[in-house]
Amino acid sequence: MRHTILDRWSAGDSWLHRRDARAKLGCLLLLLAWIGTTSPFPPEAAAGYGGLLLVAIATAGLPVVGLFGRAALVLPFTVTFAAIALVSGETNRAVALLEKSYLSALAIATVAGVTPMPAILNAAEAFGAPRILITVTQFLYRYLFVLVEKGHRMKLAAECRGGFRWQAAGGAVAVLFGSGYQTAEGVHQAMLARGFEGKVPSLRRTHWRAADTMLVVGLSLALIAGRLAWSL
Amino acid sequence: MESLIEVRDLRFQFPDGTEALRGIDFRMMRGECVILFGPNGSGKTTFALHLNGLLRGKGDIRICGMPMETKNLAAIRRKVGLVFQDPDEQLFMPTVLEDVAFGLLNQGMPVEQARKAALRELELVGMAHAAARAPYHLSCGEKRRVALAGVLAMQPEILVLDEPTTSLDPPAQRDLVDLLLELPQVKIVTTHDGHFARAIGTRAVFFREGRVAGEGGVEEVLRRFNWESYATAREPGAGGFARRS
Repeated sequence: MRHTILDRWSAGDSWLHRRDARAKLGCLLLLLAWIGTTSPFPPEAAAGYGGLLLVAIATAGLPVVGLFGRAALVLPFTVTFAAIALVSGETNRAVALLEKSYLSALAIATVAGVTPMPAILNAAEAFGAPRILITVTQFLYRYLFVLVEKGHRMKLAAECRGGFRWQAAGGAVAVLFGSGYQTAEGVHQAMLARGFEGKVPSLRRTHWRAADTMLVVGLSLALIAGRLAWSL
Repeated sequence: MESLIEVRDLRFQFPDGTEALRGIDFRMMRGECVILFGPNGSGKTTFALHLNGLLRGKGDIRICGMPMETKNLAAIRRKVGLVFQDPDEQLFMPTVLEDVAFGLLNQGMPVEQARKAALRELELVGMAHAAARAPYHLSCGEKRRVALAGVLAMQPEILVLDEPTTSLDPPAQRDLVDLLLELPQVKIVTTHDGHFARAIGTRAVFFREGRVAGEGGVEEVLRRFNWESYATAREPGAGGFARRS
């Protein structure tokens, strides 16, 4: 499979990788809330949040370019709303919207890059997320890879027979979903055959340590200090 | 003699109406390695999926004395380890070690114990060096070994392997034969490969159109159904490649 870059990143062993998933998820939620409620959003604030994320990325040893590129995937969605704000004459708001969405996506990509998906979902469950939501997300995540892999194979097959034509894309998508569904059924059967009962277990059992408390407290203090500094 | 698997008049129909199994009777004793032969679409894989409760047809199935009922499913799945034809479908966790430990953790084994047991099974199949690797980076033969380790880790009494030699090169097939001969479990193996079947099988069953068409020794079944001959006269109505004129 090719579309598994996050799995590869999250299999690392940095200080951040070793932190309890609950601490990292808590920090992420805190940071997202903080970014969302920072208003106005001066350049110093954007630089401050960006700096925090850069420290995290450097600590985790994640590839900066790769992460920044993936975070940019959110921009096509927010550019529309930023354009509307711009047309309405709210330039600052348009810029803040782009900055906030990009920084939020970067924060999510960073946490996903240092925490395996099963651990994130276990942490979400510990935070009280409904069981059904966790299960659906688990399968969505697994089957997304199935679809992407099938898509790559179909593209290769098309290229071997003269190239990919956009005119045939509709039919190809239908076949992709049909065959992806079959593979997904196979994966589900293989999981059931090994005792799956609705919860993907994880070998990684991190325990809440002093370092996890340090992470949460340190981030909270940095955010409060930043908010105070910008409001002065 | 104690029978580990007992199947009586098993029938199964797919939702599109295709009758995949039309009254299968099957029995398996301790110490056996039964080979399932038969053309594509003859019902071998469908039958194999019934032994683990993944498909539920009409008829009577007993595994180690337990009837195939919803309340027994968890226990039956601990007894019957199923290795799928496509290892890509069987390997779904981020790392090889986590994949092998998946079944153990589902059985409620503590994390550290599961980690050690998974490593032990990886050593058994010669894949301990790949424990931290992502399964999708392995070769087909390596994936098959890891898939087998994931099933063996659960210490099943019965091992069901669906076309395990597909896409394996001859050295990897020899390794698989050596490994299977060492394993103490009873085995049911679906395959088209006569050489492989001779090397591991104690008995063979031939499936045709959802029925057991015959059974006996591996050599006897291969001969009776002319299974290895490329010159076999095609039965009326059977599919095949058309010749260019």
